[in-house]
Amino acid sequence: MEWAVAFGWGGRIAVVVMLAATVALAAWNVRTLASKRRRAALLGLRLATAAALGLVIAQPTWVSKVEHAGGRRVAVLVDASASMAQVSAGARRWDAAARAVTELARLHPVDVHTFGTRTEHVGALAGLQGVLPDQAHTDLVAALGSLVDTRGPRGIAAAVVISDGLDTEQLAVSGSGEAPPLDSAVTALIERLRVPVHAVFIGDRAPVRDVAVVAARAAPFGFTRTFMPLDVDIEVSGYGGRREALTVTVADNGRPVLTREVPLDGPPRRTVSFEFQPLHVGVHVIEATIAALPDEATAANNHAWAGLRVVRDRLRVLHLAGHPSWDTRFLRLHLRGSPAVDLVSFYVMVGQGAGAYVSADDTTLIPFPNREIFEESLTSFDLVIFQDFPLGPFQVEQYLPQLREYVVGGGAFLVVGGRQALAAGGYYGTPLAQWLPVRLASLAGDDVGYVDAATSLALTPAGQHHPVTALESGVDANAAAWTRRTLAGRNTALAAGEGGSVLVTDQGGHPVIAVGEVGEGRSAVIGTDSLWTWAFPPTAGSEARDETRTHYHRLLDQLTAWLLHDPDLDRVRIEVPVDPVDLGSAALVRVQVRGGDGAVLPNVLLRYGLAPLHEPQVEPAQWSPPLTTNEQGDADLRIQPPGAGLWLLTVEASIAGQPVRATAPLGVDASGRERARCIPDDRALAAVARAAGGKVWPWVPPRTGVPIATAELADGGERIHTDLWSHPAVLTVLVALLGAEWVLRRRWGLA
Amino acid sequence: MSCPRPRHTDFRIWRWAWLVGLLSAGAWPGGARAAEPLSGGVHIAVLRVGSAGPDVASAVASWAQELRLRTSIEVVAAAPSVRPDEPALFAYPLLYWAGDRAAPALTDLAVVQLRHHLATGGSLIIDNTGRAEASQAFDQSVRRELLRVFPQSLQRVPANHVLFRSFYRLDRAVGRRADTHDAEGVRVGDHYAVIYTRNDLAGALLRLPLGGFALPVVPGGEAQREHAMRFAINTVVYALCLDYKDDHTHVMHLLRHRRSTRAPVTPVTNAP
Repeated sequence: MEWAVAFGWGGRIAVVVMLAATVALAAWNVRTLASKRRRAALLGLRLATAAALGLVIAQPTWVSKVEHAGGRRVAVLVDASASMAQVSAGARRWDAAARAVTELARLHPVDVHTFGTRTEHVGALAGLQGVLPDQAHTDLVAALGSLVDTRGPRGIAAAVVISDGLDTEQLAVSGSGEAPPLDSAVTALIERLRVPVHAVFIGDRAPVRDVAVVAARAAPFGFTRTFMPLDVDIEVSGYGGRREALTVTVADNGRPVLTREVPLDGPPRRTVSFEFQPLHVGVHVIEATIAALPDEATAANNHAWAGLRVVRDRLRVLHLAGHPSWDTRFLRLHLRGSPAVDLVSFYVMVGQGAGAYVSADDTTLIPFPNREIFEESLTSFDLVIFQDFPLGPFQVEQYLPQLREYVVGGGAFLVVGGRQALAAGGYYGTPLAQWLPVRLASLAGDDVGYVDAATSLALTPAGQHHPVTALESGVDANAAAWTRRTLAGRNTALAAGEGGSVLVTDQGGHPVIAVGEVGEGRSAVIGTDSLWTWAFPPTAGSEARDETRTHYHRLLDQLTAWLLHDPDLDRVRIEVPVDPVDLGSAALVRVQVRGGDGAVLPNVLLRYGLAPLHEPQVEPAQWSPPLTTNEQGDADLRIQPPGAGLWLLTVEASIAGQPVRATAPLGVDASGRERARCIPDDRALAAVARAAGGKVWPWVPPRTGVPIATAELADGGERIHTDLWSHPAVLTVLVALLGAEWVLRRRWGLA
Repeated sequence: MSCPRPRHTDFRIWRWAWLVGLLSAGAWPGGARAAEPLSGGVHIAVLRVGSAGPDVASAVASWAQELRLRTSIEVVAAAPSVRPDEPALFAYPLLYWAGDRAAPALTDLAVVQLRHHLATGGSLIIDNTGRAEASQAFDQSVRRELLRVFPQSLQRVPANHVLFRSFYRLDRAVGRRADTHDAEGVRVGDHYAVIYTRNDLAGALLRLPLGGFALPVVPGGEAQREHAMRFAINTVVYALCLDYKDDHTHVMHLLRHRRSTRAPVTPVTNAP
């Protein structure tokens, strides 16, 4: 409580001098009265009048800081995330937190909130009863923000966070060492609170034997076949001095792709860095796993996931040709027509017996860098093309295992035929023949593996609905377009292969274009070297020429896109969330259905189902009820996953009576990040307390209570100003004093 | 790449048999005749604009022989001839127009077809076969008609252009004559669709029935003839490979760049 007056020290002195002069003048004025009693009465009245007048002039105000009913409260934020259900020092952390709240309530008036994924106000201590620590995230910054928004006009005296410190959001701390500095937004938020923020740290560092994957961290998007960093934060507890190694494995959509051994002994918090190469466009769920140790506390925290969206920046093509030809020339023109293509070509430029005419000094010939290509750089290419390319030169046959590994691992491989390719190129009986979509036969009799003859074409039933062969809109129009196309020759000794689909044949039913899946990759065969005649058509009419050229480019574009798993070519496209969804929440998925010509297809019947991602060959256990696409060809799905884990979502659309399927990964998180770390960590709590002028205590608050705000109150409404000079009684007293003095002076004969 | 082609292709045997057969029969160089294009074979089709002379087809056959001897290109020896206004023009992406006198004006249809041919991937090699010197009349005819086909005129091909290293390393474009060391061309997109030499390329290539060269080469003699042959080979390789050789200046960079981004991580050995 304090006084306040209307003016400063100079004004106050002037008022005192004026009042003193008034009293002195009054004393001089009453000197003629004989009676001392009368002189004292008049002088007393004048003094009282002067005092009342001074009161009015000074305008004094009585300022009081009034505590409202119950006073300001201490806000208590109790961590209700799933990690608080774990046990530390023999007790459940949540129970320890409740005891800390009880102790605080004994020392301060408290206002209790729980926080985790969301912040909820429970009010009094009793409000904690019935609350379960099961929230999937810990977000202390969001909780402090909620406190700023909801503290009310009376403000709070302090905030106390009770937590094991395992924040999963902005304040998540990984690795070892100090917590990183708070960012400016968090600091500004703390300043807006204007009260100390303390913490009661629920936990200790008693060693338990456990290894955990705290997080798998990757950029939210990447580029196909471009290496990108992937950091896996691991936490090791209670294994000091052990010589075993941990095996950290990284899987891409359920397929193991990288592994690394790290010593068990070492710092408790470590980051294992990988370089990861996504192969396909689309959503990838990257899972990092530590092989469980036999004596660790729990294996539930031995894995973590990261979502990643992969796009294609450039198309890198390795083009090997057996000789320069018009077919290589026009394919080269086609590929070079796109600025997004990095084309690395090697042609066999000289024939046998050319040595007398060709020397390295006179020509620009270079040796074929087979080792650099097949041993070191093969995986950097999106597409490998053998165009009329025999296996004999350059000892390519010895690199077929690498080529197979590339294709099986997700690569794209195209064989363009000719007199030196396929059976004519010595492919028969080699490992390469095993992953082609056609079956090769040995050459018999006069068969040289190629026949020069005008060849009419026809679509097979598979080709009628395949996106690669969709040259025109509509099944009939497309089939008619293919019957108008001819070739000048084709490879022989080809037949439909297991696992492959023959899309186009000649009139005799011999395969001309075929595609197939090879492990994670795809391969295709174009059994002719005269496809270039479409790009440079011999037909006379300009309209027909243009249509044929268009078909040449469209066929190659679509074949390339199919080989590369380009989702733009998928007739059923699925957009799934990149990040894993929380268990219990619905996954919002959009499905779009298009025809072979890219036009949207409304009113298409759909169904979908989930199967474990690690067993992709398994059919969904249960299919959804049928639903249909809207006028835009879309269908929005709300999928309730049956449990946590990685799922493969399969959507099946019925297009022209044919089932067409598409799949996409779907991660479902059951507090995975919450359970990933089992060792409480006070670093984030300490950082917040330090920034907010607070302190951190382990387990319980101090017996004397937590320091509260003593400076300016949180809200202006707490200060009460009472104006004493403007009270009516002051004026009444002043008038009464002046009137009494006037009456007495008249009675006693003074002027 | 410089390695030889494989041994197991029967086609190569046929090729040598073809050469032997021609020599023994004295059948080459024969007259110009039409031929069905092979899907994989490369034809050098003689463009008939006025009279090209009887020796042109023979010179083309010799040209094809040199290409087959020195390169892996499967060149068809027979030189078909085609008029620019024929539909068959589009069966032959590579055209050869030789002349030693004034050429008649192209018909409108020929101009349209030739423009479409060259704009959609075709190539045209023009050879001024004037005997003593380049024929001014033919030269004027060529420049006049090309201006009808394309809006831009002939330009000198720079000495550092890939045409001069598409196969052989060359520093000049000579033929039977060496009146000029330059070649001229018309660019379509990012490549020359028309190459024009005024040095009588055909004359340097032309052989007698028994195999000897038909005409002397001036002023450089046989060394200049070899140079002319190399230029003739470069023009065909350029038509087929375009800027392929330019790629090779970047190949190792591309390969090294890919390697440098890789970290020493261990691939999973039991991955499917």
